[in-house]
This record gives sequence, structure tokens and C-alpha cells, in this order.
Amino acid sequence: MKQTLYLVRHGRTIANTHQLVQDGTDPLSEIGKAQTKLIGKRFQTIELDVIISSPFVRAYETAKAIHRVTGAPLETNELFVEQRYASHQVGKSINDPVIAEERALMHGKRGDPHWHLADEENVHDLRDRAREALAFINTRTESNLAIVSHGMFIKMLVGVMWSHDITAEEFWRFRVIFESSNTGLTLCVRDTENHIHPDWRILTWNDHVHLADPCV
Amino acid sequence: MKKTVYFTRHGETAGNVQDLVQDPNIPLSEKGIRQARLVADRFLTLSVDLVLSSDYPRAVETAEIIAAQCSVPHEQHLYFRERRGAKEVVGKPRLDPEVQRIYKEMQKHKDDAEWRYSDEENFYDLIARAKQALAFLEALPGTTIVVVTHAIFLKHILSMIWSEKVTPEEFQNFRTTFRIENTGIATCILDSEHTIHTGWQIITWNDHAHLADPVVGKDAS
Repeated sequence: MKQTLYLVRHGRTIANTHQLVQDGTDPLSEIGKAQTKLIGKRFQTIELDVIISSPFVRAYETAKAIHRVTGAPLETNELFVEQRYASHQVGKSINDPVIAEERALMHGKRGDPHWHLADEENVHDLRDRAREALAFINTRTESNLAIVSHGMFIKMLVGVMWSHDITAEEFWRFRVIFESSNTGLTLCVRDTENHIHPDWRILTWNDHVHLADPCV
Repeated sequence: MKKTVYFTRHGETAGNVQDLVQDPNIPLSEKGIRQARLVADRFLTLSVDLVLSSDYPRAVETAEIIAAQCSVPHEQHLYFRERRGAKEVVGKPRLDPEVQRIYKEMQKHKDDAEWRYSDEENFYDLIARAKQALAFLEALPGTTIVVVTHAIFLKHILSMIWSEKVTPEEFQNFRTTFRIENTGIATCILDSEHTIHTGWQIITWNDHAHLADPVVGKDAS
């Protein structure tokens, strides 16, 4: 069975622009809405069997734009939400000195799977969820799936495709070295009958050619 | 100082289609030439300063098409050549049992920097060459450079951008997980103010949107 997976990061939000810690309620900004129209247009020539979206507003609004163009059935799934940040940090700037210090502390403790500052998902929790998400994807029989999700989560999903046992250090490299654009498109392909490579492969990371639109 | 490098794999060859361990001299196919023209059109809008390539004909032909379209110079450098394969495998089908046997032998010794089956470049040779290639690019004056290179070498570049201490296992993960199409573009940025890890970032990998051209259609991809 051959499958193509289109991982789409949501359009820009005001919080993205101002580098604020987000929860699930932040809506798309005006630019974000324009970006979703552009990613929708990309999907005009792409056959899709299903769209699975994180239920967070910014992802769902992006997914709806793709659904409007393709007519593919749209589902939501909590597995694809963004890495959950400590609730007391939500709405604050990542450059706020207290938040910056907490983030530095969390980064220093990244090797410890059991350490948490508060109620956030640490890197190990995120990896466990990404593995669960990959197992869920592997139960789907549609040939062409779009998943609308978030920057950090998409990186971890690609990370577990790269190595099931990806470490906190390795994920940190992914985070910093691989850039992710709003509505960037990451294509993954799989051929379960290919005995040499039956697993997911990354065909494209972060294609965002649709953003080179002079109107945005 | 910010530098953008568009690493681009050469266009298709008959060797790609037949899945051969490619001979250095194999030229572009007709489809490969069409692909090179499509990727050249992409670069027309990107203020390219210079096109570099290896000296292998398939890379040179691709690079010359891009350089002509963008009206910029083209230079060849040995840094950007494909991995030198063992003489026993060059020109043979990749899935040939004898070729696979030799590759398995090489895999067994992957952690041994001094071991080679015969005259091939091993992982350590290639990582060292990738490091030299990146240093060479860093020292060049241009800020927007296209580098036409080859699939396996490009994955070594990716691995060296990942970490100067990349292990054979990490490289294997990149080799098997990340695909690169003919004329696929890996956009990388070197930012002197970005001091984490190697200083390079990967913005896109294997962008091949230009191959979904409605006029050329399926023939191009």
C-alpha cells in the first residue's frame, strides 16, 4: 500500500508574530488567513482522501481552508495538538525574563524524562505522543492524508520517523536547525510493500513556495 | 552576515531511471534537461549571485542551464562531486546481488574510519569533504549561491549541517529517511548571528514544487 502524508503547519497567529506562548484558543491573524487561502490553492491539484486536524483554533481554521477547496472529509484529533506549555506561561512573551529563565531551566533538564516545571509536556512526553500519533497514522488506509498541526509537534513527528528512539539532544538539533514556516508543507511517503524501506520517508520538508505570493 | 545556499540535485539521468550506481560521466536524459529548465525558472526570481557544481557532466549540464537562465557565472569544484563508489560497483544495478553483498560488507565496517572495500570514499572521507565544502561556501563572497550536486553527497552535507560530530548511525537515519529527487532543492541559510550548533539552518529539504508543472505534467516528476 502506497500512502502520501501532507503535514501542514497552521497559518500565522498574532501570538506567532509577537512571540507569545500560545494555548489552543489563539486565532489566525489577517496574514494567517491569507496564508490559509494560499495553502488551499496548493491543494487544488492534490488529491486528498481525508484531512485530520489538531482541534486548536489556528490549526482547525487552516484545515477548513483546505477542506473548502478539496471537499475531503475533515476530522479532528487531540494527538496532533502543539506541545503543551505550562499553563502559567500562556499569553506571556518568550522574552519575558521570568519565562526566559524558566525555559532555560527546562532546557537544562531536558535529559530527565520525569522532570517537569509545572503541567507542561516535556520533550519525552512529546516524543511519546508523536509515537502514538505515528501508530494512529499507520492504522489509516487512505492513500492521501493531510494532517494540520503545529511547529514543534510536526518536528517531533518527523523526528520519530527519523529515529524511533530520538533523544532530547537530537530533538533539540531538529528544533533549532530545521526551520518551519506557517502553512509550510512537509510530505511523507510510505510503501508498505517495499521490503527495503517499508517505513515513512520524508520526501519534502517545509515547502512554502505558495508563500512567495506578492499579495501577502 | 546571512548567506543562502540552494543545494540542488542534478536532473535525471538514464542511470537514475535504471537505478544504477552511476558512472561519473553519465549525462542528463531528455527529461533531466526539462527538469533543469524548470528549476532554472525557479531561480530566476531569487537574485542568485553564482552557480557552483561538481565537474560531473550531469551536474555541469544542470548548472549551465541555471546559470544561463539567471545570467550569472558558473564554476566547477571537486568538493561537490558524488561519493566515489568502489570500482567493483560503479555502473552496475544498485540491487544486483553482488553490489548488495559489497554494500553489506561496507556496512559491517561503518565505524572503522580506516576501512575501505577498495577505492571508494567511506563515511569519514565524505563527512570530511562535506565539512570542507561548507567552509568553502562560508568563505565565498556571494550571498545567494546555487550548488548543483548529488544525492548521496548532499545527504552528507545535511548530516554535517546537523552536527560536526555526526555518527554513522545518525547519517544512516538521514540516508534512509530523507529522499531527494532530481532537481530537488535544499535551501540552507548560514547566519553569522545564529551561533547554535553549526550555524547553518535547513529551511526546506527537497522542494520540488517546480516539477508539478501543469504543462510538463507527470513527465517532469
